[in-house]
Amino acid sequence: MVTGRLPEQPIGDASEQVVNRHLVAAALRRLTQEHRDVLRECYFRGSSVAQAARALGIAPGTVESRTYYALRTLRLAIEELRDVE
Amino acid sequence: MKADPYARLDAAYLLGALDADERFAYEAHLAVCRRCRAGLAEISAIPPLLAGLDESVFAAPPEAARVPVPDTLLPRLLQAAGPGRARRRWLTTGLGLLAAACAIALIVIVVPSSGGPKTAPRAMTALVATPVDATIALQPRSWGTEIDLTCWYQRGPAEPSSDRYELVAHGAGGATYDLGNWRLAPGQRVIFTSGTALTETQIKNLQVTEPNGPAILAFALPPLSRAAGR
Repeated sequence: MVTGRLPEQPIGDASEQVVNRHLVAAALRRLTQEHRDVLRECYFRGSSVAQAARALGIAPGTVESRTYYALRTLRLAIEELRDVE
Repeated sequence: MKADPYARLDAAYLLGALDADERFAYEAHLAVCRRCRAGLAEISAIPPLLAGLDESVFAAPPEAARVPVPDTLLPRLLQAAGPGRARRRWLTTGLGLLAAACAIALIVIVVPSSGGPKTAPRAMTALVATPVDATIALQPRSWGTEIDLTCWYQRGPAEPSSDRYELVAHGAGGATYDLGNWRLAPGQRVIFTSGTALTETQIKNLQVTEPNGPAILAFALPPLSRAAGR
C-alpha cells in the first residue's frame, strides 16, 4: 500500500483540455517504431516486461527504458498537437 | 552514488507491465521517493488516452505520413527551445489532423493540462482469489472526485467467474454508493471513468464487486490522507 501522497493541486475545469483519439493516433505516429512497439506490447497486448522483451528480442531493462521514453515523448507530441488549437 | 533502480519503472508500472512483486516493490519505493512520484505524475495521464485505439496505429505509418521524432527530442523540448523549423512542421501537420478530427464526432477524453500533477494510479488489493486486477486513481474535481479505474485479467489458469463488474464506494459515514458497472472480456483492458460527489476525504474505500456478489478488489484510502484532506 502506498501511503505517500502526491502533492495535490486544484485541477480547475478551466485548465482541462480535450484530446481526442485522432490526436492521440497522430501523436503516436511521431514516435519511433521502437517506441510504438513497446507500447503495443505492454499496453495493447497486455504483455509483462519479460513477455515484451521476449517478443521484441530485447533486454527487459530496454523495455523499461523504452516505455519510459515512449510515454514522455508521446506526452510532448500530444501537447504539441493540442497547442495548435 | 548508486543510480535509483526504480527511476525508469514508472511507464512499465502505468502500463501494467510489472509483475506483482515488482509492482509491490515499486509502490513501496514510491512512498519514500519524491523523485519517482514526480516522474510518475508526469506521465500518468497518458496511458488512459491509449484506450480504444486500434492496434493498427502502433504499426509503421506509410512513409508519406511519417514525421519521425528523434530520441534526442525530449531533452531538446525540455529546454523549451523557441519555435523553429520542426515546430512549424508539426504545426502544419497538426492543423490538418485537427481539421480532420473536428469533422468526425469522436469519443472525447478529458486530460488535464500539463501544469498540474495528477494523482498516480494505485493498485487495488485482491480480497479473494481472482484473475481480475485493477488500478485506481482519484482526482479531486470541483464537483467531487473523479475515479479512473483500469481493469484487466491477469494471465494465468484462473477462469473469471463473471464478465461483469461493479464499482462501489463506501463513504466515511457508512453509506454505500453505486458508481457504475462494466463488462470485461478476456484480453481486454477496460478504462472505466466514474465519479462521485463525495470528496476524497469522505471516501473510506472503493471496491470492485461481481454483480450481487462479494467484493473482489478493494482500495482503502490512507487514513492519513483522509485526516489531512481539505
